[in-house]
Amino acid sequence: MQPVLNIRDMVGGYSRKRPVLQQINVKVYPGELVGLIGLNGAGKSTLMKHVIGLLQPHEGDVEVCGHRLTTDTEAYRSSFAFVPESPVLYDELSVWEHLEWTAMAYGVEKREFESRAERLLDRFRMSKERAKFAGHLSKGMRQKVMLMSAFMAKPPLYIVDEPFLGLDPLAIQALLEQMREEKLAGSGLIVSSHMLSMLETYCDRYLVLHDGVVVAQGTAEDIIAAAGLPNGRRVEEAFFTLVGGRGE
Amino acid sequence: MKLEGLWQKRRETYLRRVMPYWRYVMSSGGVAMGFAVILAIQGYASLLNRARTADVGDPLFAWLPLGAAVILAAVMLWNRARTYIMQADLVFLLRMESGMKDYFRGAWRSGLSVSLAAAAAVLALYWPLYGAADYGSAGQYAAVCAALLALKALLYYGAWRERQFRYRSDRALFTSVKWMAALATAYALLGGVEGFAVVWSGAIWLAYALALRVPTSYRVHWEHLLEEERRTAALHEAWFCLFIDLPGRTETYKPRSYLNGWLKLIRYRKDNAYVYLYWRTLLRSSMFMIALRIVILELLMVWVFPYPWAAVFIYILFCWMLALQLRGLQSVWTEPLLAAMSPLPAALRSRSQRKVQRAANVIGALVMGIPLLFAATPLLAAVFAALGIASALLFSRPRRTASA
Repeated sequence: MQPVLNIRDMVGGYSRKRPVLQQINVKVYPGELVGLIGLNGAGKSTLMKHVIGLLQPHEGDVEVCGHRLTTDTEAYRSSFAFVPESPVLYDELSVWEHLEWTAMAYGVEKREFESRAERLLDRFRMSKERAKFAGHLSKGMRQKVMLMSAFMAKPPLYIVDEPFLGLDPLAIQALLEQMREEKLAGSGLIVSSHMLSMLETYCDRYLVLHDGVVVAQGTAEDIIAAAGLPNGRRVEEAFFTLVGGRGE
Repeated sequence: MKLEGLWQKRRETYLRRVMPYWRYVMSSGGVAMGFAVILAIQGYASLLNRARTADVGDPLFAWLPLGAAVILAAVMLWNRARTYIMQADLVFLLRMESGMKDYFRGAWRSGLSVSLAAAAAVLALYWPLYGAADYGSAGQYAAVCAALLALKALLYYGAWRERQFRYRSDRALFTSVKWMAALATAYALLGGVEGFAVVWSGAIWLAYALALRVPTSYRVHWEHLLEEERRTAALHEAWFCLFIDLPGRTETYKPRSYLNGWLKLIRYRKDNAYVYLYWRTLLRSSMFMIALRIVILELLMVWVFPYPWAAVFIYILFCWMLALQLRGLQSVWTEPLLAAMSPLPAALRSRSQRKVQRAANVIGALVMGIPLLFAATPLLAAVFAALGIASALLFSRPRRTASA
């Protein structure tokens, strides 16, 4: 099966002299939810910036659905949706217009757009706010608009950075449910979060990043084994062992 | 922390930041502004000449004080105060609220002196007209000026108090009452009206001064000051954006739902996505309102000066101003993340931006060309309307970015 995200031997960061990321190898397959975990400054957001094309790798390459940014820009960009940690919206557009614009940009049929938009507004409890402008929304609501716009596009790959920040419990529930549906529909998701207990319930695989290096990846059992812990322990404990041990 | 020093420091930082932009303003708009000043001086001189030579029954003597009163009332009610308050102050300065008088002292002094200077300038400009129209003696005009400058000081104090009002509705009520009273007072004093009207105006302003204590107020209305500061910064940026592409520009948007009918004309298609976005950006931005004012002002100017070549000159000047204003569309959304997240090619974005800018510019040029049909010969009007439309194409080219 072709991975939706394939990162090979990537070295990257902001400066060629001091790369943040070292020899990153990651694959995300369709229908898979991968949790990206690491301490602050581990390189999670930098890794995501490389995937979305804001940064270019110093070495190695990144493919999304077999497309490379440099050779097939449009197909590459159409193959993923990104939800950043801090919502970035157009202050001049309403909630509904954000969804409509996204649907137009991703080539979603008008009728399909309307039905998806209604479903998403309902799920994220934003129906009453549909006419509100982004500049007048609370942080949590802005985050919901970002999430709804991403789910409107229905791309093969979702890249989601700290999605739970600022969301109320019902919105977190709606997000987890939506991610589960997207996964079942065959999309691949890579989600970064510090809420390890939440990820542990929903992720198929994990990627533990520490000081720009992948210190462990695989299923929960693989991570626990990599940390040298006995079976039956939790990913959260394995994570502390992996990143804490390295720092000591 | 010395709060008065903090305001001064912020002011210096702001001035240092904007100073380099004036270089672009002078290089791009110096000549046109020079022409505008010459045109204004010429208009003023011809008005003065007409006031000196007109007969007693000339309608000019009825309109002159009214026009001056409108301008003066606007200046009287323009009570600026750059506080340089920022979001982080809600955390760091809020705890020092009781001492914020020290911080605002600089804003207060600077704002009052600039506001008084503006009012004095208008009064100085009106002086020759007052004398020419024979509304009163020099001594009487000196008394009028003293009264109006005292009123200006009261209005400045009042504006400061109004910034503390808890409710927007109270501020709106005071503003509407102030407009009517300022207009009536300025008209009465500039038109040489005496007696009861003057006493009545005095009573109104006394009531205003007393009423300032009535509405519930905060010691410092942080949210209002932040909003006001944001709007002022956006206005200044809009001015500089007439001449140069500013990095990190703050824009303010209004829904303007009455324009949604126009927006619905954009067809739902993938290659129209950026057109959809740019029309919304334009029509909801402050840029649009400034462009609209430019068009309205041009219509008024041609109506006031309905002579063929004067109309053509006004048309060219305003076409240029409109095109410069609409060029601001090239500097919206500088956030690189938005571009990286978009699945659409970058070329489509710049093509759509130019398309919207051109269309808006052509519409504006056509509307501004209408009065030319009445003020100039049809041939002259047609030639210059065509040139106005051609300028829309010229100005929709990509432009340089500020290096400052």
